[in-house]
Amino acid sequence: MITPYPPLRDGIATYAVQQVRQLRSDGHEVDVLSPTASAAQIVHNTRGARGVLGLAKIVPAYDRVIIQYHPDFFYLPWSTPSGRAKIASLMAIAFSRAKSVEVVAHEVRYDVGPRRGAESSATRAMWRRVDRVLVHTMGERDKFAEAFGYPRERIVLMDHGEHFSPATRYSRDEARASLRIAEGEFVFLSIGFVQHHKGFDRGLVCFKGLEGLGARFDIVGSVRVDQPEYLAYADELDALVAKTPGARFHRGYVSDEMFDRWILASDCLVLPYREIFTSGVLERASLFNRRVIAANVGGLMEQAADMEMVTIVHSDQELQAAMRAAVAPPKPIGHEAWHFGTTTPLREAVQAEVERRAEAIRGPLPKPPTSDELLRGCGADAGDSAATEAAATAS
Amino acid sequence: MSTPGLDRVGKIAFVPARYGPTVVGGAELVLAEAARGFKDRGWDVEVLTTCATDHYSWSNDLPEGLSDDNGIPVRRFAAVFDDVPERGELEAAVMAGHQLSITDQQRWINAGMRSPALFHYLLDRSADYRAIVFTPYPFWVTFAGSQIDPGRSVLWTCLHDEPYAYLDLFQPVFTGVAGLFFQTGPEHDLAHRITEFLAPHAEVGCLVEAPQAYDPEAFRVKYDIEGPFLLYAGRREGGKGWDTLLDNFAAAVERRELPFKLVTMGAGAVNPPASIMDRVVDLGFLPNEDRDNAFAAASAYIQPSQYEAFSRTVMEAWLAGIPVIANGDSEVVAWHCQRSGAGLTYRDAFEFEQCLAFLADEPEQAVLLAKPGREYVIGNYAPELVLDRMEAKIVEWTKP
Repeated sequence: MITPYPPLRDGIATYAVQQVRQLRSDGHEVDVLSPTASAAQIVHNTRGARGVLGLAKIVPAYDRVIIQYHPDFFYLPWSTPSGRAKIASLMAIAFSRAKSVEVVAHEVRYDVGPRRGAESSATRAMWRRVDRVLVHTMGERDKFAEAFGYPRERIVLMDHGEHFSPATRYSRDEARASLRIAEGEFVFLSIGFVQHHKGFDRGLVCFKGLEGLGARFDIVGSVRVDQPEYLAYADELDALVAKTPGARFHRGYVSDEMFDRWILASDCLVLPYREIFTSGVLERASLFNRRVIAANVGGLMEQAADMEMVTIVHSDQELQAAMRAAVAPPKPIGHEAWHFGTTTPLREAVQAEVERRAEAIRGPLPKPPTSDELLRGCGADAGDSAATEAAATAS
Repeated sequence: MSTPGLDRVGKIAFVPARYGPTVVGGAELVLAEAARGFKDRGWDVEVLTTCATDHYSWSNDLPEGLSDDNGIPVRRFAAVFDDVPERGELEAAVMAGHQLSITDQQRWINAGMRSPALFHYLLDRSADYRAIVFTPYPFWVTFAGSQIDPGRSVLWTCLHDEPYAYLDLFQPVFTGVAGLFFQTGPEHDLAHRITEFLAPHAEVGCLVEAPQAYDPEAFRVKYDIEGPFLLYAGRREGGKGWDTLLDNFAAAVERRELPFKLVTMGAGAVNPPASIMDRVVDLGFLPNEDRDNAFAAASAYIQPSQYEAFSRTVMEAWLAGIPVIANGDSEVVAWHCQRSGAGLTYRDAFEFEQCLAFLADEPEQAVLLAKPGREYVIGNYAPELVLDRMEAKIVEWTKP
């Protein structure tokens, strides 16, 4: 298996080790190759031409090669289309030397496939050398087949949480006590790497006012890469939390066990993502039967299709309403009779009542975003904003 | 004196990075003693370790596979150590207090000794054990191994107030295991300062066996040591305060007439300054009996290390009836000195000199000073007491 690997704090590494454990339990002999030193048996930098050529020498020895695929593992971040074409060609050679290659697609640049030019041709040729591609949603399966002309019958739909198992042995009561959550407190939780596309700031804004109903909002996680824009976003969250009664930001590096412990201890997970493919947090919430409110982005709706306790929201207003409903189910206001004064024009009275009743359910409307907030965002550089959270360990 | 009726069900793995009679290192020795103590109390015990015995080279000196050590199964796994320059650079950055990104912290831990074979053994077989006891916290085996099955993982933590402890990298280790054993109050306090949500934990102390008897005269005759001497036992390296000790000693004997030699035993190069070359006596490694007698023959034991998790050598000094002169910057050793009443601390070279002056001028008072030390050690850290505490917590924190 070619993958980042523990003790590296990385979602794909955590995903991979669970798969390795299962393979070994099934009686397979497994060697792991990781690009950096880890608990893997083989350490080999897979990036760039030299890295990929090295792979070509290694893979023939194995009956089956499984690649936890993310373009960052093979392509240099500053490479040009011709450079990427070269890498794709070399990867095709490497794949052809293996007896069997399967790729777990954590993130794929689909936009490359349909274009004209050397990069597109080489990438399509590379994928044709792969015997099986594993994806987590039907949407990804369709995208992959269309983008690269890849045979649909060779794309396998894999349950994202197939190899997931709880990392904590705490009971829910024990988890809450260990995290100093008072009895009766309703805990909203956003957990994972802290970066703009996660939208934790949206959750905070929509939470405002709910502490009066006995709720709290905990954000747990750390910055994934120490680059200025990521650190700035984390600092902004700090500032926002400071102004939001009932909110807490547990900024830092958490273990898989602590990650699951927070999920288990929470009452409702909030996934206010701006961009995502699929969510490991969603899968882990499902492991523990936790309620989830998730934004309708990427493949989340499909991923949540069979999950009972997931509310999908399409806007900040819906998010706010869903959070309020989670902590304080709305009174049956529909049965309340409409009363209007005799002096106010009917339309005004009805309009005011409509707004009053809506606010009673969701709380005050959030302030519209400023132009700065609209313009700001993490760039779509490789391995960043739209990264699949394979196992979504926070750190 | 073991707790009657305790439910000793399930196998316990002890996981020191090194194991064997030639291994030098407090944490590993303690874990080895704990393993034997648990075995003697009827637990099913195994040791999981690497093939290495030396923590500098990490060369695989011993064969891989299963062996027996007086009835304790020992499984050894290959250590991998590439000794890349990057490790030294990152280490220097950490020790200098630079803020390292989490990426660099991970590069640092993975640039040291690793054991993929031990990792995958635990990945496959962790469920065979009721509890898996690791030590010390900053080693790769502990860091990587304790996260495989955190509900079974217990740490003999050995937390010092050192730069490593503040790395984000180790937060999962301090928060997400079944339990943490601390040896002292300061270690316990430090853990709370470092981590918001500390895993279940207990102050259990450290096993310290009292020698049956001492023969200081036999030591003097055997090693030809005359006159009063100060003793240092342990690794002769900067991180243990050895270099500063040499400087302080040299300055003290230059400023005033002091009768002392400095006798040292342990690993590492001695390198005394020229001015005290004739006063420093290096005995290397001593057999246990000679080592005990060395303590009894000394005027005082010097503990210059700032980073001590417990300091067994200080306990050995008090058991032998001699006073301790210790670096006051070590919260742990200062704590022991204060609680026992049997040690002095210094904060700089001048205070160090005054401590030696006291020893030289008031030898009888120095003996009186040391007197309560033995009772302090036996009353708090006798092996039976510590094993009782450890057993009780393992039974509380884990399930068979």
